[in-house]
Amino acid sequence: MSRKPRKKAQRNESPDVVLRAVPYRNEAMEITDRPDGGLVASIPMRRPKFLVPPISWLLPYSSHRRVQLDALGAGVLRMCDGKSTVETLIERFASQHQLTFREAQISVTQFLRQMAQRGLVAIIGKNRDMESL
Amino acid sequence: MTTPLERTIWRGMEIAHPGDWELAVACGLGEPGRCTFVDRRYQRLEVVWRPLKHLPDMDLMLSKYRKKAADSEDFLDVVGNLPEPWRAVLRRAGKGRMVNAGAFFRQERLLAEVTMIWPDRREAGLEREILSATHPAAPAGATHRWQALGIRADVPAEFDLHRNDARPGRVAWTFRRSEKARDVLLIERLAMPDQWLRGPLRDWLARELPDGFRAFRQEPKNCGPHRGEVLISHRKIGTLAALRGRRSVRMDLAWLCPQENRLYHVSYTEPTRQEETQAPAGLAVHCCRGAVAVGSPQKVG
Repeated sequence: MSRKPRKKAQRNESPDVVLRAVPYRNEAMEITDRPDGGLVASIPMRRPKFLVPPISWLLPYSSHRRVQLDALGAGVLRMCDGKSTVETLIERFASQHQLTFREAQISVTQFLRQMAQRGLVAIIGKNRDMESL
Repeated sequence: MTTPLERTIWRGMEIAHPGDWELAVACGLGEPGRCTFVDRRYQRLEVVWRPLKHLPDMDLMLSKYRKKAADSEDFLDVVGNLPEPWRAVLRRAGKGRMVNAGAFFRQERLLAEVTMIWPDRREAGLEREILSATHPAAPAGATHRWQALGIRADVPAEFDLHRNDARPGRVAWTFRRSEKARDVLLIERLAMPDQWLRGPLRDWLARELPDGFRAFRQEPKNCGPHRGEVLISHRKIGTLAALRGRRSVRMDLAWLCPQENRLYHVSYTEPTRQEETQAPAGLAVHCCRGAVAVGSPQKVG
């Protein structure tokens, strides 16, 4: 009997929801600054359940995932303070680098998505109703 | 409205819009004229245009539309007090309002349609300003003005935009005289050179040469108020062409504009028997302080 492949949940959030979302840095992450302005983020990883002796003796396992960011990426990560919305981040990035809002929007949102996939940040959505609370 | 409107000039149409409404969709070669502008959250403005052989009666079209739409719940009113030759109707669009305007420009025999979306409060003054400054672009002699996505260039009229490659931080336009023409003109504007440009501009220019091109001559050149770099290079283009003494000759010109924090790059490639080539006459690319003449000045008379 074959199982149906599970469909990946695709979310197409409206621009409004994305801009109002707030990125939070992973508190368990350790950051090491680099001399070129970049940084190395070290994120602790959960040990897979199957990785017990003797399998763990054979399969190499790293307790941390290391992600290296250049100066631009590090700048965006440092801006994620748990208070600023994605829109604020884009505005700051655009003014820092003399970009239009749309240019900065595409770059920053793509980068935030990648950082979220790698576990560096979590992006919490907010809607208008939540803001008034 | 206090802040002046920005202008986008695309395939012969000049469109006025607030600075924070950015161009999101622009028509390609051979497609019907169309530009769409978005703000941070919504689509705000769409302009479509096409040439017409016959002369439409806009007032008759409007009255027919009004009769037809009178029963529709969306239809609200005919918009009055608009600049000539614009006619428009106001419609309901969700929680907001939508204005559909049309105009026929007799001299150019061009029909233009504008859709403006007001998600919150409708600004009739801004609406009028946009319409009064949206019209076919005035011809500028032997060149056509192209102005969008941060680039402003006067390009010889015989060239048409064949490829618009707009990515975050990089806009590149490729112009050709025709589909089969072998000479290619590229205008490129790159953002954040302070972040990625390592080393001098001359080294970057040499690195950017496509495969097969060999540098022939490289020297600094003044580009308006900026110091630029010009590079001439050659590439073989087949045995038959070599027998006829022809090769592909390329001219690259680049300069940094610190005020805009942008790198401008113009290249022109053509098959020729000459050792060097020049950008087409009249070509000018504008940056912070006006035009940088890239091609030789136009011949007058």
